[in-house]
Amino acid sequence: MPDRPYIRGCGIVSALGSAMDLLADNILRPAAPSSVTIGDRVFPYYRIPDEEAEPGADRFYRLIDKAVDTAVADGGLTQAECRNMGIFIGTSSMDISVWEERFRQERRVNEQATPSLQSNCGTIAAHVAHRVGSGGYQLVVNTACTSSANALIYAAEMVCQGLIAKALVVGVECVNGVTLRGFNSLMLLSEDRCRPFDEGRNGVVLGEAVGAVILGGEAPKDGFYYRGGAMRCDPASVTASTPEGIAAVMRLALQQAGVAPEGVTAIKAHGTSTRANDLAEAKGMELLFGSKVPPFTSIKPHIGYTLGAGGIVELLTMLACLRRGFIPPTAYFDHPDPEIGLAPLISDTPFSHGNIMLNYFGFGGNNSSIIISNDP
Amino acid sequence: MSPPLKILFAGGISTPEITPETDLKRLFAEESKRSFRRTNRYIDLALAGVNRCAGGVSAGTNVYLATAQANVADTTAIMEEVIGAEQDPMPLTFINLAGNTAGYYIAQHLALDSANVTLSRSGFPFETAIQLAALDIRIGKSTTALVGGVDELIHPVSEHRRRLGLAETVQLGEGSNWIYLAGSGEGIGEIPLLKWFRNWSEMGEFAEATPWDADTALSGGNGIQIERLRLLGEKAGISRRFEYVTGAGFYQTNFAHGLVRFIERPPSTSLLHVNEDDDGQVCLVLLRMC
Repeated sequence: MPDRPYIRGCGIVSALGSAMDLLADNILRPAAPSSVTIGDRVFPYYRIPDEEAEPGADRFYRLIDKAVDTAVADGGLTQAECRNMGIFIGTSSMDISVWEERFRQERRVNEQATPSLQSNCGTIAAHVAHRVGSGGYQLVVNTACTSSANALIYAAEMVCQGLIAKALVVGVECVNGVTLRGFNSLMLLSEDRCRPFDEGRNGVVLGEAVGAVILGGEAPKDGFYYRGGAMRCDPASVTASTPEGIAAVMRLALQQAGVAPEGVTAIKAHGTSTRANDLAEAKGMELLFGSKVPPFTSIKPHIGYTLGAGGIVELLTMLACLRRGFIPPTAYFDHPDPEIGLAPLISDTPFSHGNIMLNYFGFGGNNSSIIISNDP
Repeated sequence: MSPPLKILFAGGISTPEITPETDLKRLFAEESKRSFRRTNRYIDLALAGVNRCAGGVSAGTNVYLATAQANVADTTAIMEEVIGAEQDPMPLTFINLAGNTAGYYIAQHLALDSANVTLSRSGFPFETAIQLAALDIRIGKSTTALVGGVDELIHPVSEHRRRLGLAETVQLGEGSNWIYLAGSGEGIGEIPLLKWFRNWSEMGEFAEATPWDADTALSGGNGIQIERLRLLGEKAGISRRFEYVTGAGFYQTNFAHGLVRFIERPPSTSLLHVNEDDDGQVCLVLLRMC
């Protein structure tokens, strides 16, 4: 790699906290999420507190601005650096929350109003480019729950190849009716807790979050950098990943990173808390690592399933903990599942240096795996 | 980009071949001898187009699907259902709403398990897809790539036109057009240049200073006015024009249609295409037939 894509500036707005230090503090004190009502049923939901941005049609972009501004400030970027910075966005529901809110408002005054949906899939990147004053490269990736992980992979590749000096990668997902109602129709929502890999797991708990990260430039104090990554499509099922597909993408990511399986210090699993995904993921890890599956954990019980934003949001959450010197535990894991045969970390585990694998799987067969490292 | 990307095949389907009466699901089934029951019209459009570019696609081919509006028809319909009527969508309708579901069905149709990216960029979705494919080929993540632009037209057209912020006089269209790229080999054409500029004048200086092949045609994307194109042609010493927007209608990925039509019936040996976004950034793409 000609240039090592160091992880420099970080910005986050989430239910777990809206500063990197808060993520590391709060992850050791699991708190109950808030809730959403769908029809006559109430579901847990990891919602960003209103003090971060008041409700309304432009809430979506205000949350993005907050995360992006924080990342740029944290990265210490000059205006000149921002001007040439590449903008990479990963999201699954795009800015649909904006158009839902406008549709609601229009319906109040006109019963015949129809959804306007006037933006296009590139709009979010254009907005962020304006916000930071970038006249550089833009990309929006829409690959369901791997969206921002894939945006990160492309950003890192462009930095590595010297095509851009710096990249701002944003993962964004905001609460919206289409996503909530859609997951409800699939009967994938848990009514109590997100319990990845637990025998009693019964579905996902959704969440909203925006994460922003700057790649490129001088090595930061903590030394973390993107070491490699891979994305693949598993055409076996539109909704479920297979163990073979999961093992294949992890293997490819390790090849790209130049890391042997035994060189993986820990894994941030996708760990959604659905029956099928967690089982397939555990079997996929066994296929690749055999009896020596590295310690693994899931971030979702702490921050929710943030769908397309998860690539960046879970990276930042993991990074906040690693900087603090620990790998976070998987909350609410009480009963091992004999069918799975593996258990995630249930207490915080010391970390000093090594290679961390981060896995993401999504609808449409998209699987992604990323390796970050602070090894010299 | 060096060495130039080779174009091995090209094909697709667009307005005006697609009319409101066209049954895309049936068309795809007839031409491919396969059928997918659970797809929506946007996915059918993507499949019908890619199938015309799919001859000889090799295992390990990456898929890059560029779109500006994605599943806009289903998205608006589901929003009506969810917000207007406060009902859940049908499960399958919701799954098909995921932006990458079309890419998934393409992977299934062509038995591909490599990278499969649905992507966009305001003003330049298709150009961005070509660039990502070039990057992956250059760094050895793949040797071949299927790169397409897919956008659908929804009815009523007047409402869709308003959604896109276009004047009543603008003709709308839709299409699914694909090129099959490789880093080397015998191609029917090649892409020796894909370059972004901060503004029109920066691009103009480059175009003026670059010696273009004598038999090059110049084309402009959506919104490039004829007079501007004429002035650019004068600067670059290119008098021949290739026009595709009028026949294809407006949609943000119609450059894919233009490229495929040029390859199918090249009126000259090279095509220089210019496009501009709302912020004034400009992209030049050069296609050379082999």
